[in-house]
Amino acid sequence: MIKHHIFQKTGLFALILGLIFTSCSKKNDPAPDDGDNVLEMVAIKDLNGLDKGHVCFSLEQKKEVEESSKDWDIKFSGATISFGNGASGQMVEGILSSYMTAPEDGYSASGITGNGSYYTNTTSQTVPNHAILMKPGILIVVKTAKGRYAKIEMIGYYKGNPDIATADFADIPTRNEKWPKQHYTFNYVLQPNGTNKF
Amino acid sequence: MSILFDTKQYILLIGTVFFLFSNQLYGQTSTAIQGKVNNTSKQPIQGVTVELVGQNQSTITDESGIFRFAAPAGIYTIRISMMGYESKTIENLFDKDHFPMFVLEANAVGLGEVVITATRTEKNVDDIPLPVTIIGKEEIQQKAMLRLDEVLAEQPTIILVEDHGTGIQLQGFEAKYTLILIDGEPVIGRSSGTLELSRITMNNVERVEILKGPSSSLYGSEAMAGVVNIITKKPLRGSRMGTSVRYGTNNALDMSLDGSIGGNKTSVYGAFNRFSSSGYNYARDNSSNTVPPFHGYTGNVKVDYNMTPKLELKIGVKYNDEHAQDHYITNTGSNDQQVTSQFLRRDIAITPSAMYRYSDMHTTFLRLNQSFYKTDTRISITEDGNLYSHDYFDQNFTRAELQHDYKINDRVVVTAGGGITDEWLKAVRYEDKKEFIAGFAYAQADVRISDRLNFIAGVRFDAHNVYASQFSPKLAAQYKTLSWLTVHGTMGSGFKAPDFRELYLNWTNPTQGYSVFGAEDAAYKLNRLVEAGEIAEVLYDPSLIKALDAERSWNYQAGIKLHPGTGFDGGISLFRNHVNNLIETFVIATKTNGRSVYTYSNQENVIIQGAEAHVGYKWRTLHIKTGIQYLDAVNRDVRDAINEGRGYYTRDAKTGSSRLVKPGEYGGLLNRSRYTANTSIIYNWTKPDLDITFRWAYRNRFGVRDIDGNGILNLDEEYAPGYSMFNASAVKSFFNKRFSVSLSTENLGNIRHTGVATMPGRMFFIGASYRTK
Repeated sequence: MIKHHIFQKTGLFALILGLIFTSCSKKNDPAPDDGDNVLEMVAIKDLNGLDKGHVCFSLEQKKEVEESSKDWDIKFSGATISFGNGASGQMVEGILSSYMTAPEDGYSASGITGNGSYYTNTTSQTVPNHAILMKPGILIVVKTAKGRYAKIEMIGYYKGNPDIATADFADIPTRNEKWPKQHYTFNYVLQPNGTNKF
Repeated sequence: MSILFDTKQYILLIGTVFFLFSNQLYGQTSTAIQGKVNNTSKQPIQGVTVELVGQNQSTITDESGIFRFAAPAGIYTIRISMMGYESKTIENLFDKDHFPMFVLEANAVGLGEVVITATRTEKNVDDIPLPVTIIGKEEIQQKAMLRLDEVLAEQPTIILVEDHGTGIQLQGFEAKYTLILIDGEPVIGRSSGTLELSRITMNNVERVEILKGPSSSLYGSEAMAGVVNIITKKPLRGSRMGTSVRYGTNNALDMSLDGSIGGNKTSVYGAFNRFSSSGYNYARDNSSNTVPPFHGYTGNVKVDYNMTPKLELKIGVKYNDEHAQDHYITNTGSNDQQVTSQFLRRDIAITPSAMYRYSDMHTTFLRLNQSFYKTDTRISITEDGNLYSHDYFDQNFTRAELQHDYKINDRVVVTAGGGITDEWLKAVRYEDKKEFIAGFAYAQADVRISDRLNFIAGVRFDAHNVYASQFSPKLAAQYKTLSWLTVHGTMGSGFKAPDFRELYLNWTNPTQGYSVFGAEDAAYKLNRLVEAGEIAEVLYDPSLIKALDAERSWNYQAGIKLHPGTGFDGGISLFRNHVNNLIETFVIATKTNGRSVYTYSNQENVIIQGAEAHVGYKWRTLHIKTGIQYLDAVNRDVRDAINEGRGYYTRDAKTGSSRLVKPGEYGGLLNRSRYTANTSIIYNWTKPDLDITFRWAYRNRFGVRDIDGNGILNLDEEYAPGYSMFNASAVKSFFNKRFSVSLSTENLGNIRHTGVATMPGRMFFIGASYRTK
């Protein structure tokens, strides 16, 4: 019962946050980019953060990079997303395809984590038990070191992005065997022109 | 010590009442009145129960169908009832020249039953413009049922729910919104809002009345969904005795003994029940049992003293306790250890009352209620016997209430009353003794404008030392449009006061590490944690925590009652409740251990609406009843947000990307079934005197969890499948129903839902009972 409320309350908080931003954007938002300037959505599947315990990613290069390189923007370690090399980010409410304007400020380099942030860590009371499930309607907006904006939607934490509603997934030994954790699936859009309009 | 003191106070109080009334007492010559009961073939019926309504006298007709009472001549209301016959309540003149003859019709629908819950005065159920259900002791015996939860589980619009105990969901409301009364007095001792219904035995019960719709205009807090009033057997003249035993699955053993003895002035009723079970465990491992082995006792003594024909004094004492013991393995902080838990629950209610009839027009009631409730749970390490955890809860409830009924004429009855309640609590999870003091006053007018049209208007005012005063009106009307059709409607308001938990709880979960504080002290408690360095971040300014307001509902009901022909009855009703200010927890801070600090606030607005239909048919000794309910229970704020296309998201099953929840996908509140249905078939096979019953209860799918992390019910996988429960019984009676043996089964389909204590799978019972006539 209590757990349930955490989700609701943080959800509400995120909702209010999102409302503020979306309502601001509607007023002074120019028409979205015309047809020949459609931004590409990058789909990343099963980025492996299990073997090393973490994985670093460059939004510009659209691939995993070494932690020692100066190119990575985001790092996944467990359920924590941190920012590096001058990048910063924040959570907003929205859907990838319809989220059009990144916030001007509110970015932080301190990373995003915690049950109820962009994911839910289910308890022993809710089926599936003890699973990391990505919350729908949450985007992570990142401002890269070069000042470019990206919007990211986290989709899955398990290899192969399985259907979380099945009995197999609910069974913890089966889940660990079939769909190893810390394999990140996400979609993102990067605006290369430096504006905050997607 | 305090019991003794309070009892002295009562004796003093009652004594004062005696003194006040003593100058109005006068003698009356006592003669006998008598009458006769025949069947429709003009044959006398033996063994019919005849009760003088309001006089606490009851007798049985002899072989000539004749009954007698030692009472002065006059006009009396009598209630005549017999299994297999239609009960009747009739007002008649009895004197030397009048030897009235009454005719009982067999095999018809049980019209004309008297209820008390709807108006707080005894009234014919047909004249009450409210949905009232009566479950009589005959039906309870035919179905071989023993505990309140078994009886309520089969009623249309009621579903058993499990939340810190077995409670009921009535017309879509959670268990905490139904007031449970025994003989009109509230039963105390709720755990997280649920009153454990299996605490209440049916062995000493005359009937159970269920009043649907908010009834705060008469009963105050908690009566938001409705009222369940358990009417226990009365002390009667003469002597009688009964005993019964039932044994079944999980070694569930229930034994009871009751009896009454009464003379002209004084009569005493006593009942004793012992109930035990070896419990059961779903998991069948070393975890704690779903229901641990337990045994419990219920004792009940009632004394009626007709001091004068006008003054009647009563006292009731009810005692109930339950002991449970369990062994399981748990993590006691450092490692997994075998522990032993010992649980005790005890409640005692002492209810003295006085009734004074000035005349046919005026009656005054004085009612006192002193109730205690306690639980005590000790968990110790099995190996060395060291106490690992001790949790106790002590609650005290004291009420004095005065009610006056004024029958202005045949058409208008006015009832008014008022009283004071003092309630306190001492418990481990509360910092110190917490006390509520409340006063209340109510008035009700019951007006019969014509033989066809009557209405009831009532209002109640509740003042309280902690939360804001409450004002609860209600208006109900009914119109007998045709001989077989009655139309009725109600508008009323109900409330549930913030309870001790919501106001004062001081609880940190020892294993999980989160804290919950009641709203009154949350700011102070949070500040203490901040000073102790246990808080990582304060998320909500504690100075903005508002005082809790009562949860409030507005209810609208409309319906029809049908009696289309001999043996048929039915009804349809529509109900809609707007519930505001529902109290929920929310997070105010994060602790350094990563856990949260919660308090309570008024947040949610909910709409619960639906329709109910029932139909009954009696043919000879066959009685079939069936009912269905359609329910729509939604969080209004969530529904509005979804309709406006904001706030709630889910994932596309194929692409995995987020999208908005569509309006049609929102499934409303958890644990509500859109459709529920019940059917009960009761057949009396006359020749061998065998009662056979078969009952079916169905609920369709209901929401149990949130999978996609949006906090609401919207995916098919978030529902538990619907199920049917089948119960059946056979009761064979001997020697004119004095002795009977029963065979019964519950949950024939062996439906099991993990964690639902009321559904341990298929159960069989065998029982026997004996009763002197």
